[in-house]
Amino acid sequence: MSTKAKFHLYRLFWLGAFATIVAVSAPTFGRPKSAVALEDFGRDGSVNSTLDQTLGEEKCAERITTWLEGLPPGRAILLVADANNNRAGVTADLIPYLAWPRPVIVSYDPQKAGREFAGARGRYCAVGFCYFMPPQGAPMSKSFGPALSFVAFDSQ
Amino acid sequence: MRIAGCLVAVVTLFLAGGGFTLACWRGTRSILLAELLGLGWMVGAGIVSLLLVLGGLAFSGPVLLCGVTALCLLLGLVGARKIQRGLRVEIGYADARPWEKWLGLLLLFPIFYIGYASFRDAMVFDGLINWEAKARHAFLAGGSLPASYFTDATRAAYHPRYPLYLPFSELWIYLWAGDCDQTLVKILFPIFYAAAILLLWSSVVRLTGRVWAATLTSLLPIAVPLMADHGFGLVQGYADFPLAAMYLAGIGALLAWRLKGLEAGWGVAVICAALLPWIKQDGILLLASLLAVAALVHGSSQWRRFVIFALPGIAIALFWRLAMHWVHAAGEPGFQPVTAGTLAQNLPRFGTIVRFMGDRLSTPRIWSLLWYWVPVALISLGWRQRRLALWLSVAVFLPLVLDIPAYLFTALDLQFHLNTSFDRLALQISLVTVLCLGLALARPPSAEPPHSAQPAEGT
Repeated sequence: MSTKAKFHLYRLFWLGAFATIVAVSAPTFGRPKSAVALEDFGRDGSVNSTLDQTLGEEKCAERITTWLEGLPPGRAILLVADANNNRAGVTADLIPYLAWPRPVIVSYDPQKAGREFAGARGRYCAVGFCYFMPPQGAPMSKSFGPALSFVAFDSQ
Repeated sequence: MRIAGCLVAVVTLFLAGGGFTLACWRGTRSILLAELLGLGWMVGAGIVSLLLVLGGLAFSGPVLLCGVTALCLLLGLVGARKIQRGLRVEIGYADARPWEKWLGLLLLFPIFYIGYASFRDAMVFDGLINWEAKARHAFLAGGSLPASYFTDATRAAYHPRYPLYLPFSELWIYLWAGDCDQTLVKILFPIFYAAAILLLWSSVVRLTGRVWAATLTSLLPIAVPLMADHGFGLVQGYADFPLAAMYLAGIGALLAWRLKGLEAGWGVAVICAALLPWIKQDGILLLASLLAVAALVHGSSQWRRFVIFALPGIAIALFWRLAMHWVHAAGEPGFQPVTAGTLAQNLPRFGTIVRFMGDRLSTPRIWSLLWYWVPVALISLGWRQRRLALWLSVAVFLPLVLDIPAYLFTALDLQFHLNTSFDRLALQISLVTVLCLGLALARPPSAEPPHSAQPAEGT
């Protein structure tokens, strides 16, 4: 086989290799499939729109931030969230994000959360329940949609 | 005003990186425009983030913003002076045929697509709470992260020890825009992608001189699902793709220095190596891999030069480690003690880890057939250039080998840890694997036929 023929065969082989890579992924191009349900996140991907989406009300991020600013500074919040709910996970990730620099302890363990709640008054300034049924008789101070509510022990 | 501020942030960041790259450019060979743009962005993000960290120790607010901006402009001026003094910037099309030049226009497609995907998708998980959150917190604190951020045990799971290359690039946008605008900040992602594509293009052009092969190679990442918008990557605000781009730039420059006599390549590789551990902690493994390739490339006769090559990267890695030690940064949940006993106990994990790696890399919905072709490309290259094939094999496979101990000693559930991290670790070396395919495509097994194009400048 001549040098030129070898050269062209070689190039064709690698162009074919590139083509196989394109061909295999072509059916899924532009249609990403994520491990999580991206519909749980807001349309523009911001925290504002995501919380509006997960909590079902408008301007949640702004309202939560304002409410958190009214709590005594420095003291931590306990947030109890449903471990088996995607939206609870997304929301629970965003509360510490909004609450910074206030410490937020997120608990996905309902038994531990129940025990913590019993002795929470001295340790936390508020306890939040995210997609999680609060203990019966807990005096709810503030709700952000049906899925997130807080008990504040003392506000400024 | 926000958009105008964002544009100023982008331009100043590029001026800093472009100016620094030009200032460090050595030798008489010209710099390719694609190199200047790609390195300008990647290095600029490193410079601005480092300046914000160091400047933030003493200043905050407008003083910090003005100070860093002034330094960016100064670097830009230094670069401009270098061009005035005779350093040429070339497009790299000097020997390209007209159809090759037109082919280059196709590269706009993946860049625009990633731009569209970035604004379509949300920043999620790590992209938001590990990376962007640092930018937001620093913005709210006046431009720097207070020590309390690093010591807050309740946020230890959000990796406060992660370095600040990407978050403080985002902070730069916030500082100029005057708000934590999470939509606006996504402008960074397609620019990082464009920088990666330009660096891939210029690496292939430098190493082979074939513009058409460089263009086809640079189009390949958009056809690989994880390198485009499937899974958690650049468009979700993760730092792994910028890390991959920096690793590619370092390997490409090092090879161009050694194989093509590009004098400036050595300095560029040093800069890229230095910034690897500043992008992500995993960058230390890539730094180790790049240093291993550099050790082979330098050989025993140039060991002094190799030591100088290694120092900046090690210095930056140590700087951040010591800084985290000094502020008593909260520990990250993650690893069991590294002892012989733990190793013996966890050794049975080895098979699981290697099987998992093989399974994932051969899964078409994640990687298409990219990893199937990598060994073929390396064998093909090794047919005529054994040294090049050896160096590229180390660059591709050593990071994977170095990942294994992390999984052997993980304190997390092994399967969970593998599921949530391995794809991203592989993503960090993916651009170098594409470079292997590009080099294989461009290099014929025997002499060139009579009518082929001459190699472009730099080959």
